[in-house]
This record gives sequence, structure tokens and C-alpha cells, in this order.
Amino acid sequence: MMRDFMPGKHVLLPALMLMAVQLPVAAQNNAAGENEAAADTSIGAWWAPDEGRLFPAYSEYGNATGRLGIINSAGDLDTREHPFFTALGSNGRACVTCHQPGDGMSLSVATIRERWEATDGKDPLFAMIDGANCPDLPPGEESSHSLLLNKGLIRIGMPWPPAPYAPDPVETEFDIEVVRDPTGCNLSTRWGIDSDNPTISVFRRPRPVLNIAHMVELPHGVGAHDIFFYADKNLLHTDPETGEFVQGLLMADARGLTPRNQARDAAKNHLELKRPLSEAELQALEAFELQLFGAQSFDTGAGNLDGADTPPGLGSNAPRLAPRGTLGNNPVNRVFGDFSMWKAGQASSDEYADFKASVERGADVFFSRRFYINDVGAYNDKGLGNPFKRSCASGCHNTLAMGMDMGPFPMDLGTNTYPWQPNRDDLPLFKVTCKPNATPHSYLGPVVYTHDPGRALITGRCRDIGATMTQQMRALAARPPYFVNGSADTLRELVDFYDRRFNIGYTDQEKIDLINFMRAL
Amino acid sequence: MKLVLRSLFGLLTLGAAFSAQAQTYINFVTCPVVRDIGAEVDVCFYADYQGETYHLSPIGLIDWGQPELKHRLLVEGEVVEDQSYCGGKRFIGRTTVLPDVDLECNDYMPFNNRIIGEQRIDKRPEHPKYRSVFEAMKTDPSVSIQPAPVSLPVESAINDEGGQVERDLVVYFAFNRDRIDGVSAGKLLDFAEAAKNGGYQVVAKSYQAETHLDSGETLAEHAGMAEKRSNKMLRILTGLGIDPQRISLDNNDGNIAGSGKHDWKNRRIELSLE
Repeated sequence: MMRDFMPGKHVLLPALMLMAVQLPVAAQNNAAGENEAAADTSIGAWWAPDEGRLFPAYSEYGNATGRLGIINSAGDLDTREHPFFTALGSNGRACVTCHQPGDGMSLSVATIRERWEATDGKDPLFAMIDGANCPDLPPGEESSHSLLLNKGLIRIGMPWPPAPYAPDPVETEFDIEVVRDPTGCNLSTRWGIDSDNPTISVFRRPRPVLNIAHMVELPHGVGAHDIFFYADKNLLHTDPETGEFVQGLLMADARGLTPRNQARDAAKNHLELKRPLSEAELQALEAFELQLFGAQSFDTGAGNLDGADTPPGLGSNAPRLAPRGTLGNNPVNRVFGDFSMWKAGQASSDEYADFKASVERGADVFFSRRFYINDVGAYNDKGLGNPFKRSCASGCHNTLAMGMDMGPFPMDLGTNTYPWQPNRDDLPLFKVTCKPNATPHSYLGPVVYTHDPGRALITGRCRDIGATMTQQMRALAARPPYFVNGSADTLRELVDFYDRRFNIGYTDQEKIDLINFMRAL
Repeated sequence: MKLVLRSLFGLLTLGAAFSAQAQTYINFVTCPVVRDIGAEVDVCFYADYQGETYHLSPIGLIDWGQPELKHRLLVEGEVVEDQSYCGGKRFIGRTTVLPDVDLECNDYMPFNNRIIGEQRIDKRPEHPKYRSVFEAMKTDPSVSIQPAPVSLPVESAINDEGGQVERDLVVYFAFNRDRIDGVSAGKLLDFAEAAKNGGYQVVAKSYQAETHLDSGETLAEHAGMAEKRSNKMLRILTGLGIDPQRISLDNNDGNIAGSGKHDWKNRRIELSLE
């Protein structure tokens, strides 16, 4: 099977594979074919700021079900003084602090807890500004950092009323009330909604800085929707620096439209950098983010995912080679490509055959199993109908080789809103009331109870309440928990949420197959 | 010259040919009913009205105005007697999902094995456009993560015969909305390109209107809708690179009176290149 199909790229993959000398120790000890987890959960996998390590052209990191492979397509990188790896701000963090290679360039709860225990809570990761439930809580106590320690959540302070991130002025269509807040932050006299600097604190997972080249690519081949938003038929946003149309997939609420904008936002708010990033720093950050590709490269159930005779949509090389910005919900692409070589009875008779067959079935459930998608705010109401009947792949996870919604835009799946998410007593709860002349949330009406107003804190629109962006599906095994608020600790909980939310009725076997498929991505 | 893909949606695109025959006008507000028409296809929506059943997706509209449970639906159109889908007659016109939540609108009709939908032709694996790709995949599965052949619901403002850009374009709107539909968005791209390349002045006349319902009730659009529509059009056209100095807007703010016949066509922007 020829997998390296892009012209001019044939030489790179073998060269990358030879660079396994850069693997963390535990990963090296798990050569392809060993049917056991690569248990690299040691402190050695942690990237601290200013270490000056080499970021290799290819590296692997262990996780609970195998290993994640990361390709740095520009080759080995000396991270000394590189802004992604340097503690630029006042709190000792670097970008890498919350975007760990071993966690798919995101941050898993397991890693967070290890850092807590290894440093007695003194790692810069736990900076009070956003690594605590609220900056005015007592430092060093687990309870002050419970959302980060238990759900991997970083505090995001959003200006209230919403401040414009796009050129258009924001007309806020709703009032907001704090119903309760176990973090205390939204009611804090210094940090809360009634403070001198009125702020809404919401809590979100760090998004993976991986395969970003896919996330910033404009859609191709979808007609007018190459540059029009599907939902309201406005033109896509433009990059204020270049004037070019841009995607909005980088951040949960689509406020940071480009890697440079995201970097500015993160440097100011998460690193507590008091000066603007320099042009050289911005260029270095953007270049680095656009050259990283990755996916699970080895699964304990399936063996090596990167080699020959594996489905072409699997392995760390797949995101590097796959075309970007392409709709994949068609009979050929099936979003993550053809898995038929692993079909039961057709796969090789190796020790992995049963698991491979499960992954193949999971890919089919993902692509083919239709269900009613209903009452999703900022989604069903954009002209699609309520309900409409699609599968995971033909609905929201349609981008070739990546699995986010190429739409784009944020939608209210219900992960943060009542009645779909009633079990998060650890998060603040807001009552959002739309003004009489506003178009209300399409399915929850003019009064919505939510843990995170999402995109509405950017646009000020009632129809955007609770809406957040779908995520890429790569490196899932490396970065639990899932969803924007970390509400699913495991892939099983993620599947169960969808099953309940949309009354799908997956069988237990279908759930297992879906999970096996997803953990291999 | 861009390809005009009017044949893509089969039944959906025959509307113009039938319009001369249509004589029955329908104008009503209803709760849509969702009907399951098979495991492999999307649902459809219908409503019973004055002894007839109507399929609630107007002929020719692709990405716009699908009905929604939990919302009432404004239906405006002329009936096409010899076309049916979803167990109901079809019509040419517009539907508008009304914004307020109405929990009364929540009826599902399960699959009954009599009314069966068909998967879109271009979504079926057996479609001829995929044949060579599937053949190639037998020896090289990586083909499956290369871009597949696509057919798009794109229409162009370039006419079929001469490849000339049509200098007049009319964009219709749902009731009290400024969202254009996907087909019009596609046409706007060509229209804007022609305006730039030809150095034309773009003249946009925006209208808002009443809808006269069969019940005798009249629905009037909010004051300022015409201006809202033209402002949105201005943002789109300037975003597509047209110098704002070359765009003139004319807002007709008063509601055009409804008659119950083609009232939806009064909610429009007329664009012309001069």
C-alpha cells in the first residue's frame, strides 16, 4: 500500500521513523507489536519551560492505550529561547506548560495531577490567575485548584458586557445572573461580574496545538460556503492583519481567529505577559504550530498504526498528508478513509484481528449510523431543520481526516446547558435572559441556564448561548477528559452523553466499537 | 465559464417549468410534522392544511428554511399539482421558521413503509462519479483520504448560453430575515466579480413586505427590515472587494401590501450593474 501520496513528500516519512531515538524512555521500550500499554506517565515526559530540549522531527509519547506520534515537519527544533517553550510572562509558564506534547499538545488530568504531586502544587501550571478556580483563593490548596485537578479546566475571564473581537460592534441581547458559583469567582468583588472590571469566568479545556494547519485552512469545494458562513450567510471573518478570510476553529468560542491572535490572547491572559509579543515571537509561534502533526501511532489493541497495511486515515502521518479544508462526508472519504482492510474475516489473522475488526465497525458506526440530531442551538436552526437525521460523520464531524465541523461555527450541543447537562455542580451556573426584542435561543427559549454562555460572550447574541466549537478528533487517547468543560472523563462517557442526548440507542457493542475507533485516531 | 449544476437535485430544480401551471396559492402558519422516511435518508416535514397534505420544503431551495420542531412555520407558495414528496404536494415559494419557541409543535410520524425517501443520488456509493475512485482504492486505500469527486449546489450568475454575467440579480428573503440562501450566495460571488472587473456601479433596491394569510390575517415585517437587508448586502459586497463608493442603496421602508399571491417575492433586494 502506498500511503505517502503527496508529491515530494516521499522521503520524509522513512527519515522521520529513524528518529525514534528521541522517544521518551518508556515509549522506546514499547516497540510496535508489543501488546501492552506504553506506560510513559513518568515525569520525564513533562516539558517544563526553558528546558532547552530538542523537539524532535518525530517523537512518541505513551498514553493509556498506546502511543501518540508527533511529527515536527520542519525537522528537529532547538527549543532554547523559542517562544513556545520559554517562560515569557510573569507567572513562569510557557505555552508548552498547557500544551504538552505527551498530551496531544493539550493537557490531560492525569498529567495535571502528576505535576501537582511532583511539585506540591507549585508548578507554574497552577498559577493563580487561571490555574485556580479564582485568583483570590488560598494558593497551594487542592480545593483552590479543583477544576484544574479534576477536570483539566482553565479559567477564562471574559469581559462583561461582551467586547468586540470582530470589527462589527456588539449589541448585547441578554442579561446575565449568577445563580450559583462554587468557585466564588463570578461573585468575587475583585474578579466577578460586579467588580471594577466586570468579568464572567468560565472554565474550559486547553485545545490541542496539533494539526493546526488543518484548523486554519479555509474550506475548499463547498461552493459559496468557501467564504460564507452557513448559518447566517455573512462572509467569513477576516484577519485584521491581512484582510484575508479566515476560519474560526482554533478556540472554543472562535474568538482567536488566527494562530497569531490566539498567541496574543494566551500570552496576555495565561502567561501574564505585560508586553506585546514581538513580531519575531509571533512568527516563530505561528510557524511552529503550523508544522506539528500528530495522531495515535500505536494502539495496544491494534499494534502499529503508522506502518503499511493499516488504514490510511490512521497514524501520525495521516494528518500531515491529508488534504486540508476538505469535506469528507461522502462514500469515498468516510471522513477518516477506508477501513475495509480491517473488516472481520479480511484482516490478517494476527493477534490484533479482533480489535482491528472492532475499529472497522466503529468507523462504520461513525460514518453510517444515522440518528435524529435535534435541538442543537446555532446548528439545527441554520437551515438544516429540526431534527435532521445524520450520522456522527455526516453531521458535525465532517472534515476529512480531522473530524471537526468544517461549517464552521460554534453550536450548543448541550454540554454546558440545561436540561442536557444537569450534573456539573462544580461549575458556575448562569441564568441568561434574553431581552424582549432579541431572537431567543432556538430551542431553549428566552431564558437559558448554562455553565458557559460560550460564543454569546463574543457576539452578544441570544442564539449563540452555550455554543462552542466542535473539536478535531485526533489524539483523543492522549488528552482526556473530553468536551469543552471536561465533562466526559473517558471516551465511554463521551459516547454515553451523545447516546443520551440524541436518544440514539447504540448497542453496547456499537459503543465499544466507536470507542476503539476513536482511541486509534 | 462556470458549470451550472441545476440538475443536481433532480426533483428540486424543476420548479420553473411548472410555475405556469400552478394556480393554487397557499399562505398559512402551521406546526410542521417530521416524518421518518427510512433509515438511510434524512427526515422530511409535512403539514395537513385545508384537506391537503403539503411537503414543507419549497422546490428549488437547498440550504434554507428547513422546518423546525418547537417552532411554527410560515408557508407561502403556489402549489405544483403533479409533484409530491413526503406524502404531500409540493410548492414553489418560501418557508420561514418563526423565532419563538412553541412546544406544541413537536409531532413525529414514524416510518410507515409506504412513504419512503431516496438517498441523494450523489451521496450513493454507486454513483458513476465514484466508480474510478473505488477501483483505485482496491490497490491503494490511501485514495480514500484524497479529495473525492464532488458535485455542488452551486448556481452562477453567469447565464447558460453566452457565458455573460447577468447584470440583474434578485435575492429573496424569508419573513423578517436578512439571511440570503446558498444559491443566491453563489450567484453573488459571480455578480461581485463582474462588478469589480467591469468597473460597474452596483445599484441595490431593498424591499420589505406584508404577507396576506389565507385566514385573512396580515403579517407585517418589522420596520427597518429593508434597511437591515441592504446593510447586510452592503457588507457582503464590500467584503467581496467592491468599492463602497460604487454601491448605491435604495431602501423602500414601507411594507408592500400583501395579496396572497407571491407575497414572498416582495421581500427582496434587486441588484443591478450599471
